[in-house]
Amino acid sequence: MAKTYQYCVAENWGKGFIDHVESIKITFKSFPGNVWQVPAYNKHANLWIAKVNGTVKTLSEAQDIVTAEVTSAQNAWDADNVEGETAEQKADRIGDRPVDITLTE
Amino acid sequence: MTEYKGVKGGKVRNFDTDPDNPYVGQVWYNQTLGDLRVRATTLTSAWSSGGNLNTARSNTGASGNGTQSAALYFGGATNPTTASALTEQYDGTSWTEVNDLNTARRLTIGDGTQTSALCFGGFIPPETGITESWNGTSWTEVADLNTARRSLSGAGADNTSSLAFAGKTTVTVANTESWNGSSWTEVNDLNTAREAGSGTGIQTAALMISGDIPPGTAAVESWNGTSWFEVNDVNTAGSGTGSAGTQSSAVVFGGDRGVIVGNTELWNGAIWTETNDLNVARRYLGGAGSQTSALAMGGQPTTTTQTAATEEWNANFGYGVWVTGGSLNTARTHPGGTGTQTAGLAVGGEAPTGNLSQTELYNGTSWAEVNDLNTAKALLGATGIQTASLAFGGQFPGGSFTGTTENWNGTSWTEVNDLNTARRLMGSAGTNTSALSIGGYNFDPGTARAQTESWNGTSWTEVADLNTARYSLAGAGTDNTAAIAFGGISPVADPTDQKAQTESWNGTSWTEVNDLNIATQQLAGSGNENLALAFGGETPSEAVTANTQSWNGTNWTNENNLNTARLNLVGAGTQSLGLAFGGATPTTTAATEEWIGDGIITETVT
Repeated sequence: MAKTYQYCVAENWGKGFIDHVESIKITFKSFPGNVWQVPAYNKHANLWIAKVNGTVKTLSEAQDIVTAEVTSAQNAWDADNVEGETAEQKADRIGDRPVDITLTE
Repeated sequence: MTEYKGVKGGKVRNFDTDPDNPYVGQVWYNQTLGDLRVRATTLTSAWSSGGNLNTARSNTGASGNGTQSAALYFGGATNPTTASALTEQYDGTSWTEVNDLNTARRLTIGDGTQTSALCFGGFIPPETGITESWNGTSWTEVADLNTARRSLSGAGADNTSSLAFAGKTTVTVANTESWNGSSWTEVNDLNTAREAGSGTGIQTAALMISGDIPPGTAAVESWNGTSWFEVNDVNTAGSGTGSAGTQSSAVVFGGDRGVIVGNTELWNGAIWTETNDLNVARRYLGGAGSQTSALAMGGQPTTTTQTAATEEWNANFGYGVWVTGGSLNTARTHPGGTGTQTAGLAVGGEAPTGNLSQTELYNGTSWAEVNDLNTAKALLGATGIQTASLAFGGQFPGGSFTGTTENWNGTSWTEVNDLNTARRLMGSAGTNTSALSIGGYNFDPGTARAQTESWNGTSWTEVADLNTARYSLAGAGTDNTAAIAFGGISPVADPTDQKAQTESWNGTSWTEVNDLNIATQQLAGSGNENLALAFGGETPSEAVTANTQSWNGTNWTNENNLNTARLNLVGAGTQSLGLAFGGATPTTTAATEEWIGDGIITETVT
């Protein structure tokens, strides 16, 4: 089946990383670990990846990076406890536990 | 049947030809073409990356009445539980740390400008009513809110007038308080208590946008200086949004709508309209600026991480497009080309039948044949304008390289002094009295050249070499003292070694500057050293490309593609009004395209 998305790793350096015209032409989605999802088989997306020196990742490789980041955040969340605190109080204090992220192709 | 007059109140006017200066949206009937025509635009709105915050954080205060190029971002959370006192200010390019708040806090809010702001409420813990006033240099504690709370909203012009509303104590609240520069006074409550909404506007005319009751609400309320009244909802309920603008003209972005989103909606005083999303979806972010020029900063892209990303919203900007022009009379690759979009010149080149000597002039609509070069040649360089040009170097029929130079006076070509080194496929820049021949290729033994030669109106002189030897590159420049060279290929042995390098010439030496976004050879260029366009050619992944990139003096930006992908074409004109003609698709083409940098074009209504 043809892919809908492709993935790359690129660090957002700030101004000029995504310009206005790229923003119009490409639907971006960012994930933990500097993973970016952009449309597959899309020339504008390919040009953007080249511009930002992105490292193209397979779905599996991108998933591994994201999962490692999420797992790390989950472990940190699990370890952050105050004695006597209820689950609701913990969520109110530090927010909800990070949820798993599943990338799609 | 609906008539145009019934809709627009006037009839469509007939013209023999397209009018000279139609306004955007004007419709007319072109009797010659037999077509209904319209002046159209590519105007659109979008987010782009701004400079990153020095410290990623969310749930901060921000100078909502600041501007896209002068904003303040303060306090917040550097992780889900750590409150920050950091203050950063934005200059349109980058963030700089300035003096901290006196009290670190998260889930806070603020308003004002970069030089006169207020930060109030938040969570230390516990919930606080502490208010601090920013004078452009430092924060000073002033009178507390009457109701200490977190996750509140605010609106205000500066540190002398502000409105605080909504938020959470132990429960969500509807309280509204008004700041007069020295103390807070309770005024009329919101109709719906909520937390983590966003506020925008000023003390006497504000907007309360969505929030968490819980659950997340789409409800919007408008403040008239005395009381709140309900207005139309945003399209999607949620909380943790950022916003900018006024009571009657606002933009709201990002938020948590069950999932963290980048949705952006525009408010015109009556209804909300969805528009292009943030590139980095996030919640609990900051906002500043106006509906047409806003800033989104920080926030949470996931429930437990903070981002330093800043994005700039610009509404109603045009972006460039290529439109077809009149075709050359003789299709050709590797011609010389110069002039402007409405006064172009094509000279020489290569047709399937062999090298050409033909010269053609473009008037903005069609090409006309004029006097030929004295000697047919292809792969040459050309500089100047339509009435005063220079054609140099290249390749004669049979394949021998040449350094011959001819000068065009608007009527005929005259042979002048040769290049010192015969070569082909060089870059060129300048005029017919002050030009550069850059790099190229010659037998010795079949080598990409780094040599640069400078033309002073009489003769060529060798000057400093390019840092990277190459051929099939492009050049753009004002004269022999200011130019850029970009793209190309070398060495000959590696046909996949396209170059992305850009070099800048200051009259004495070449300096490497920022690369093309994608390495390209056999491309064309237009413009000058400060504002240029690169288009067409061959890239590592495309044997024939339609890519277009624009140069702003510092960086290359990807633009809309040529309609006809091609290589070995030639360019003329400027960065905003360029001309592309000839080339190979890979078959030889006569196609001409005109670049409309502002995106305002005349087109046939279909």
